[in-house]
Amino acid sequence: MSTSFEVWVAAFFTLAIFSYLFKDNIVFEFAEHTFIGFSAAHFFVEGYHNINGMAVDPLKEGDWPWIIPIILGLLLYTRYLPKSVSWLSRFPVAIMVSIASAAQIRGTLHAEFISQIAATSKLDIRQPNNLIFLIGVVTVCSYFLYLKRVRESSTLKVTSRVGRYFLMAAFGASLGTTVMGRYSLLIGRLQFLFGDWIKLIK
Amino acid sequence: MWKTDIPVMLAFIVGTIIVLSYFLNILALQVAADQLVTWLVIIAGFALGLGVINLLQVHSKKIATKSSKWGLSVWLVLVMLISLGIGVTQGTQSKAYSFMFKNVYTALGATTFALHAFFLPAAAYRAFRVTSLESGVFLLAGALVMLGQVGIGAAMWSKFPLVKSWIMNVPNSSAMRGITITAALGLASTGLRIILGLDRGYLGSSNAE
Amino acid sequence: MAGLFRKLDKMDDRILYVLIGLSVLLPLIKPMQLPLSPSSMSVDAFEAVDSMPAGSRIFLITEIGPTLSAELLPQLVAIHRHAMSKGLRIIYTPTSPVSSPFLVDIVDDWQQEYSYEYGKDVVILPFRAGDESLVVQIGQNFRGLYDEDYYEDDLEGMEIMQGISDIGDVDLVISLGGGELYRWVVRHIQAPKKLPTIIGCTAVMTTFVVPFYSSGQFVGIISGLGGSADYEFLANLPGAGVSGMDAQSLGHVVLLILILLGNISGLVLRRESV
Repeated sequence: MSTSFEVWVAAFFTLAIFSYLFKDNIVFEFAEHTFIGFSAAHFFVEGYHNINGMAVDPLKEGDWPWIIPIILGLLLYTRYLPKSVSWLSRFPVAIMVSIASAAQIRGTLHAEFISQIAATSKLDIRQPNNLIFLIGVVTVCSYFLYLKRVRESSTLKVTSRVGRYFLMAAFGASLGTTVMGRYSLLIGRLQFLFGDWIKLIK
Repeated sequence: MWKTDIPVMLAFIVGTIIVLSYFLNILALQVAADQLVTWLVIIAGFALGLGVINLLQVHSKKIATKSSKWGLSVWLVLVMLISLGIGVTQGTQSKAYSFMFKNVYTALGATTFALHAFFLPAAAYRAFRVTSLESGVFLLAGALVMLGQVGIGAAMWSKFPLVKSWIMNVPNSSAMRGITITAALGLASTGLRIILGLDRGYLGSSNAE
Repeated sequence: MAGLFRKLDKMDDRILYVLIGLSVLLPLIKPMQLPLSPSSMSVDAFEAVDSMPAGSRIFLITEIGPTLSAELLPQLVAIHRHAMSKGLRIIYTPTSPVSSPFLVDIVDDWQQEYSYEYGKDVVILPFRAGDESLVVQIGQNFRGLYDEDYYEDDLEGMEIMQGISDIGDVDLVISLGGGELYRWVVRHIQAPKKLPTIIGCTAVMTTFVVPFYSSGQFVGIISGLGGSADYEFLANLPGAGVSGMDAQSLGHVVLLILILLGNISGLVLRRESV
């Protein structure tokens, strides 16, 4: 068994969270509150160092334009003040949302829309797998057509039904990979408990 | 006007600059876009601190009214303020902060998500029932992928990994490509609505369209 | 028979939890040495790194954190060891506030074994906020974002950064994440710069990433713990990935049996109620 204080602390918190499997209890809630408290603090601290490195330090050296993002960032916190000033937080939010949206538009159209269609159009459909692939892409796209008149046409009813089977196969594959993902998390913790702590795993 | 029109106009101007800078080779536009995105990175740094204020608001109320389990709220606020104090004054590389991160935060975060490993099979046992051809396709694909991705599957039948590979690369990949193409259109149009001021949800519910 | 299935149907979840826990724990204590068959996605990812000449620079962007570490840490360690053993260089870039401590640990832990030099062979950039906007900025003005490393030392004087004025100057991009990071990378780095890109992701995300692999936008995918095991196996550097795969095997079998049992009991009980 480990003699390291650090390992024992980590083992305590690991077991505290696992205790929830038996039932909700005070030790679990204690651990949960510790997690939330530290998590919020950590994000604040990282944000603080981020702002210091990127804006405050250059500002101290006389690079004055950096005052603008600092003011905008501070305006975010006006949301916690009375209504007469809380609307000021809309300025930084508007900038954040619009930049994120614009970034999405320009990136998505090229990398996800055009490139994916281009790759599909290059398929050699004489090969059975490529033909199945093409049928999958087209029928799934047809499944997501929401124009009522188009959707109710008999051809589209058939294609969207085929598309549903492709989607089900994809979601089934997602289930399979999800299982592996979830087990990996448990394996990680058991390797810690029975390896680093109890030293039963070599 | 200041409360709604100006933020919407700001969103339009900023968004237009970012989009156009990608398609037009104009130096002034590219410099402006570069500056704006750098500013956003800084503003996003401020946003990381919002959680602390939210938690302080919620838990100070619980402590003041001595609502049930208020002692836990005291603990949460204590942990938060002490960690924050150490992190800001001594940095995240300090011994005390590293101890908290590695042995408390990492253990808690990883274990919380590890609980899913128990809940998923329990839910699968009760809910994953074949009741139609579609659910049959779903479960069959899932089972084949599961058997193909672990050694025991390959030990049972050497072709399971190939079957898994086929499901991932043909039906799955084609369906996900269909989703990607259609979702890309959706994302682009949603983004355009925000930039054009047609979607104002970000201003708050009372100002939404 | 129906009575037995009724009992099974109403079984306490905690019995299932014990069964699941044991199925994962026992192979960890007593490994079964089951065979590994690396997927083509993992082989392509491995070969992309393996074929790089010594001195090439990898830009590794990651959002690893406590909740993702079980899957991404073995990937990160495998790539780090493989790259360092081949004399490749890595620029680590965190996109999440919780990533840096993991990167620091990896760089410190393996330094003695591979005798690499910080600043020459490897560097850790500081965390910057912004999520997708951060990746946008990495794509359009990488050096404008970073003038210091994680330890606040000037990047200008570091050998690893010499000749990099734009992200297009690196030789390979690797993205390790559990969410939308791969999308941001394809949108703002891979597509505009046409850089060879490998995606390491949590197993859950694999199905979403695969279309970009089949379109040729990504040269390889390392998927979850299984992907790490494949990579470790191919690089002949066994680690946490390989050692966890037996536990995955038994866990998967138990889950499949549970689903089968659930379906049989559902069928029997449905027939009985008709």
